[in-house]
Amino acid sequence: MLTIVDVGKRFGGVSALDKCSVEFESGKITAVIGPNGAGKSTLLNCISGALVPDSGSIRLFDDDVTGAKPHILARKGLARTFQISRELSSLTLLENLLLADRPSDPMSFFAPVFRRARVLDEQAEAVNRAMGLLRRVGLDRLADETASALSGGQKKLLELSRALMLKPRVVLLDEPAAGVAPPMVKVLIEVIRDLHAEGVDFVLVEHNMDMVAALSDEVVVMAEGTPLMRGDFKAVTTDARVAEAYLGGVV
Amino acid sequence: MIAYLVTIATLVSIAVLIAMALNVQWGMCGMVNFGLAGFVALGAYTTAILTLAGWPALFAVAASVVVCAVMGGLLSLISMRLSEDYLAIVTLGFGEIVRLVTLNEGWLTGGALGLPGIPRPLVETIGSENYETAFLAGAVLIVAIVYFGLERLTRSPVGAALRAVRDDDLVASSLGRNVLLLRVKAFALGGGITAIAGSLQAFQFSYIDPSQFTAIMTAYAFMAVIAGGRGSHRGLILGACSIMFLLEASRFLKDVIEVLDNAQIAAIRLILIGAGLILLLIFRPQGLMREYRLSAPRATAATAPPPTGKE
Repeated sequence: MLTIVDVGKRFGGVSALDKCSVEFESGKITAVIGPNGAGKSTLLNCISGALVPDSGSIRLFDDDVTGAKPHILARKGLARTFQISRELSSLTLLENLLLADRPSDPMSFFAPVFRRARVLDEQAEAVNRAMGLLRRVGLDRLADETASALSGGQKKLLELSRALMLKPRVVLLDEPAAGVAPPMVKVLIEVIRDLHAEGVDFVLVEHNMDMVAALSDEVVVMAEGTPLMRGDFKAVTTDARVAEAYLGGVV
Repeated sequence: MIAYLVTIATLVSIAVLIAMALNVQWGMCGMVNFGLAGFVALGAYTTAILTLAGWPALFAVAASVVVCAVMGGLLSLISMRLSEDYLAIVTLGFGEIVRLVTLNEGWLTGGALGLPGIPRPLVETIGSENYETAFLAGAVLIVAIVYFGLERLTRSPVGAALRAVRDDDLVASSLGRNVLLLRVKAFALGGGITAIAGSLQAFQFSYIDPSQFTAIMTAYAFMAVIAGGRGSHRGLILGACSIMFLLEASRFLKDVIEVLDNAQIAAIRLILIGAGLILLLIFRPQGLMREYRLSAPRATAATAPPPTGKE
């Protein structure tokens, strides 16, 4: 589904990704873990088009998407959430979701002026879908509030439902549990599990090991900009190399 | 007195159009334009030169809209890799280029002497007696058309996408919106609207020179948009009217306060505007009106059945 080959990315003198090769398979939730600075977020940003890799290549399904713009990737079925919530704070929750409606249909700029009825029809349809998604994460009653009014956990849920509005085939989740209260983490886990059952694949970057344990079919451990090992949750958490990577090799 | 009011109202219409252009570019899409007066000048000169060359007014205005829209699109395209601060400098530079060209290319623009004798549209049909009033009606009609067009745009997914680009372009892009295209189109649309404003100005005075298009024109547009509430078209109309009211009403101060001479009155008028804007920003920083937000009932009430509770 997603094939990353020899991707490198430097920030000044710091090498965030170094010849990073990893394959994410269809039909799975793959978790990416690793200590801070291991390059997890950089990898996600390179895949989603937020950053352009310095070297290497990225394939999504059967297309080479190295350096592709985020909106192109979104149209190919790739959605993402952000480590620090990036809700569109002056837009309502509903508007946040509607923005992701029909991404592959290039928005006709003047259609709302000259063909208003059609645009309103399409919008009403999208509103129903959006309200369904908001209901699913329990945010439907807040649909008309601006996103700035939400709590940290609610913002994460909003981002997830907004990503789903794209009807994605794969969703990259960048620390969805960070800063979220434990009961809300449970809600998130359930929502993600349900969605996976419906055929959406996930790449999950996460520090919350409960979440990783609950969701992941496979875990990739990253250290110093490249994958260290992969395996199921149990195998990686008992591996000596992983412990060393996390503890910096001091012990 | 009536003639005076008609003239003021026409000028307000022009100011409102300029502010609407800024509202599309900056208010909605977050792209600052400090070269607004340059765009208005470009529009005015294009219309003036073409009508003087014998073009019918309508065609001249249409051509001027195209020229300004293309120029706006190009300008946003070349500065797309720069962040917002640099777009400010690029647009400022553009305004200055237009000013220098109009001032120095005398063969085309008449230089500092300007272009006199711009033929006003339909002047024979309407007759000179009621022409000013008819011109005002035409200007108000144009403002209304542009206003309703922009409202439709604002209340549509396109409007929401523009606001998303303004708030966070990476998110807008991650949700499948082509940020570059939206920005270029918004800037071009704003450019086209300034061309209409410039054309009206050229016809209104039937004379243009570079001194009509100074930075204060840009400043008034920013004031109108900020006072009205960034993103709200209704608000900026209110904002533009309030500013013009303060400016013009304070002319009559000299009849009330006899100790002040004309120069002092002129200074006081600008102080009033400044004080008004500061007070507004202290007590109502979001502006007079709020920008449009879509709400669920409003969106579904129109056509669709109520949501069914299941995916």
